[in-house]
Amino acid sequence: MKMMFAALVALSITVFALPAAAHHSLTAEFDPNSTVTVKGVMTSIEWINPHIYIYFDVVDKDGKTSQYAVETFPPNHMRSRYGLTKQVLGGDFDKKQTLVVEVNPAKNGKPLGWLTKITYPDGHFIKLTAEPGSPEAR
Amino acid sequence: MRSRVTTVAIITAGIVCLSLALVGGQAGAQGKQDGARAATASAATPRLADGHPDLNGQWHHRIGPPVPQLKPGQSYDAAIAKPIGIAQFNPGKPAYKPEYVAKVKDLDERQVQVDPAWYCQPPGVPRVGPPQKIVQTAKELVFLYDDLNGNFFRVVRMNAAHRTDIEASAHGDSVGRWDGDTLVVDVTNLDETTWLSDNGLFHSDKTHVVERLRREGDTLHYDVTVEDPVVFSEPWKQRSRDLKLMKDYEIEEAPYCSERDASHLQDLSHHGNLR
Repeated sequence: MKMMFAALVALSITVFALPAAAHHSLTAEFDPNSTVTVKGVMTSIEWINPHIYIYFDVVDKDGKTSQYAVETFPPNHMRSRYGLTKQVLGGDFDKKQTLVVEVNPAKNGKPLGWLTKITYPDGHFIKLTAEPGSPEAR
Repeated sequence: MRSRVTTVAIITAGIVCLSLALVGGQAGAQGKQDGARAATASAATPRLADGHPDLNGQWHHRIGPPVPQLKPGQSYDAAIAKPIGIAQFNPGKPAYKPEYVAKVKDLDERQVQVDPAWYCQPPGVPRVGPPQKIVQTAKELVFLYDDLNGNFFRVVRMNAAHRTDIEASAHGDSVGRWDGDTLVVDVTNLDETTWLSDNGLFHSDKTHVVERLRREGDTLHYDVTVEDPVVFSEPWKQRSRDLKLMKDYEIEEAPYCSERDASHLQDLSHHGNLR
């Protein structure tokens, strides 16, 4: 499964600049030192607590489709702190366009990552960070 | 838009008085808050027809007031936008009887596995925090909460005796009385399924909570004392909080809570989940 997943995504390992005391909770689940780029069609957004989930259909080079889950902040963070609504995050959801999503991957190798950036076909993007001092950064 | 800008200006001007410990400065903000209480009465305290202070309104939001919404197609970079902080408040810690100290430590260390609030259970009183919205009549006050774990309410019946015909619950049974201009809320009938805060602060089913709410201008002073004769060695007086009236904000329904991370966690490290 892990190998198959690796084939599905374009890996781009980068140094993710974060403060030293950051991300205790995120690092329990995700690797902040790695960024994976996933290209896929957004199939659904679960606007739920305690974390929003966005699901993508990703097609590998053999044409096989599988699901990749992207996790992000709770709804009240998105709405209150960033001004981000489900509609804005979904973009032109109905057009089923291929989006480019950057995540910190799950440490257990599952097709799951923590959202850092999502880029839409017209070039606009949403880039989120767990800044120092936030609960996620402890 | 203009009113929102005005609201931001008001909040900014009142930040010294704000009890909510902002990002990265819980201890510092707490110190400022304690020293600033005497200086909060900038406006007259409105009153209802019965002469008691008018506590109606939106008083607290864990994060907020919200920033303006993005438009579809608009780019956003959190590193540039510098989003507003999260109002996490650290209530302090109670003194447990010696025989329970080890249990608290164990629960604290295993919080990601055993804290009921991490698994979408009701936070309970007092962990749910101060009321986010108050609806007040002469006979009762209703406290409303848009919480990470769901939508919760409490009905505070004025000058009434505690009910004896209901099961114990996470948020218990609340009755209120006026002590001068201070609303005193007495809470009993709390079950032991909740924690009092983060860090393993369990309690018994004999917990008794007293909240004191006093409006001064557009500030609501909120104090909590917790008694638990079974597990505490003395009553726990939480750190005080001062809440600002949020005039241009309305409470919203919380999306449902479904915890899905537990199976992916590789260690027990965690962040605070304070309210």
